[in-house]
Amino acid sequence: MALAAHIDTVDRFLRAVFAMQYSSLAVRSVFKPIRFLMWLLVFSVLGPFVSTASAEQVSTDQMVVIAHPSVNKDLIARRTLRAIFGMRMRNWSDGESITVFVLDDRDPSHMDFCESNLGMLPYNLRRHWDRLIFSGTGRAPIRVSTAEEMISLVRSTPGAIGYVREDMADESVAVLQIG
Amino acid sequence: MNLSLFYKLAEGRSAKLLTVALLLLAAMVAKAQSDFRYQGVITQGAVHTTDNHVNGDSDDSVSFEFTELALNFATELPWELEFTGQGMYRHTGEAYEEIDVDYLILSRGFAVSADSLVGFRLGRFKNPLGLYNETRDIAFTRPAVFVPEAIYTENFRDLLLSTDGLAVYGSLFTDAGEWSVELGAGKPRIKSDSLQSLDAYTAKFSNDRSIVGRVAYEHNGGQWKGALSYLNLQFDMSLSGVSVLPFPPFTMTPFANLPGSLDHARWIASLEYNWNDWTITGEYTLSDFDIVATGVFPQLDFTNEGYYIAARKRLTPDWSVFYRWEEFFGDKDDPTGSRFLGSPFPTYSGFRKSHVVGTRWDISSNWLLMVDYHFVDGAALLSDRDNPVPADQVKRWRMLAATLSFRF
Repeated sequence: MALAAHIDTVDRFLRAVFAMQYSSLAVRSVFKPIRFLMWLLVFSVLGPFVSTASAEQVSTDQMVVIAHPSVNKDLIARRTLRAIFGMRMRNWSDGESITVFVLDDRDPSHMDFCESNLGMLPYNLRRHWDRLIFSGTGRAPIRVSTAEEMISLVRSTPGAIGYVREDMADESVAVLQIG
Repeated sequence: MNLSLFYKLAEGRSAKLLTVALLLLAAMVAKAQSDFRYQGVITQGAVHTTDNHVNGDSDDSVSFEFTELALNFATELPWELEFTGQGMYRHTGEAYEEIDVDYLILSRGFAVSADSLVGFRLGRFKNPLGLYNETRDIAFTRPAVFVPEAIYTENFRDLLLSTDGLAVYGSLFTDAGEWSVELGAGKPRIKSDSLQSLDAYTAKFSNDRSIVGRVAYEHNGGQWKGALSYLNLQFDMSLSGVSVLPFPPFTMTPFANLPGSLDHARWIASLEYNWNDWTITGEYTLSDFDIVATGVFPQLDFTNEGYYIAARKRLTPDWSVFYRWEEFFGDKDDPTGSRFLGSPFPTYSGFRKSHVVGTRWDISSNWLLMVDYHFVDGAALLSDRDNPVPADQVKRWRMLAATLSFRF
């Protein structure tokens, strides 16, 4: 994680928070907090329209599940796939630990994989992971930024699993059919 | 932040031990392990009410006394043991300001077959109750600015939150869906200031114990899910003071070290349905209280009833709006609060019915903005600490609340 990049953001946020709490008199006279809150409401309703990202060109190739060649499988049941990407099943049947790689929640490939391969809604998977992380009962998968990174990490990590578009899956990784 | 917070923390021996253990182990592990992950969430809220106070001085003003900071870690120890912990600072008006070990868990899972597993959690674990209890203080996992209080009572939060003890769990993955069972037992999190309704007394607690469990089923990757949760907690107490409880006959005589006990049983039924951009959620709770404090007040035996139905529509992947209808009755056999007639408390402090509308905007993967607007009828569930004068409580009021959160 690029910690350094976050520190500045956290620092600015904290300073803003403390400014709000401890100079509330100044805030009160300048911003009129109730109005400020009203603006926040308006902002939360209108903001998303303004920030809508431009549509991306997406390949029509299907997503496939890939794994490190040490994962001695051709077929994987959907229930098992869900248990693995839901971070519940932690080991392969031979005992090797599973490392799960995923793309960003908003990556079109990730959304496609969730809906087509897992048969899950992406926001449900995210909620599920967050509940594990913040209750101490599990951990999140490892997030990678690109499909190339995904392939190279799955190739080099024994027990790894991930997903890419079909045309990108090469000989260096095992492709698991869902059955 | 002032020093008294640290004294408060040091007050509970187990909390102190846990803190030391947490720091030592975390430092040790961080040094030894490359596999050390941490996450954190910072939430700052603002609350405005037309009447009554929520999270500080909000009546006809805006209170910013609504801050949540959580920092957690997860790492693997030898023998495939998993070690996780979370520290939390939480400030909600006069009601709470504390630094706490939210959870600290040593756990291990065992595969039973290709489709099932069992495991245990040892330490301080969050109580598996309903859909939200374990992560009720993390904005990103809450449905809105406030969890539905009809189910997740804020005035009773310490006792619902977590247990120091042992929990076991099991999961079964089938083609149709996933079954899971959790069962835990141990000591509830009870501190001298855990129960607002006992603020007027000096209370000492002993023999505290709790059991908690949940059975859940998630169909087809979460298309719908159902859960049934149960919590039973009991403790003995020793009360001293001169005061009244909000129940007849409102005794005013001084007393010292009078023995008492509390027996609480809570059932929660939960159902959630996801369909494309819609999520429909409903939960129902019955919470039975049996309180004995001979010489202080007559035996109290009553049952809270609470429920809500919420509908959320995702307008874009990052932005959703919701509506929630929520009702709570302090005593299900007295929905109008008539027991409070002739007491310092208004009858409408016996119930609370709300219509809530709100928005959630996931600005980016790290930033979240939520805004709720509440139309409320009734004054139940208000914090006694934020609203110390019962007669000042107002029956019909509205609330505008927002939280801005950052995770890292």
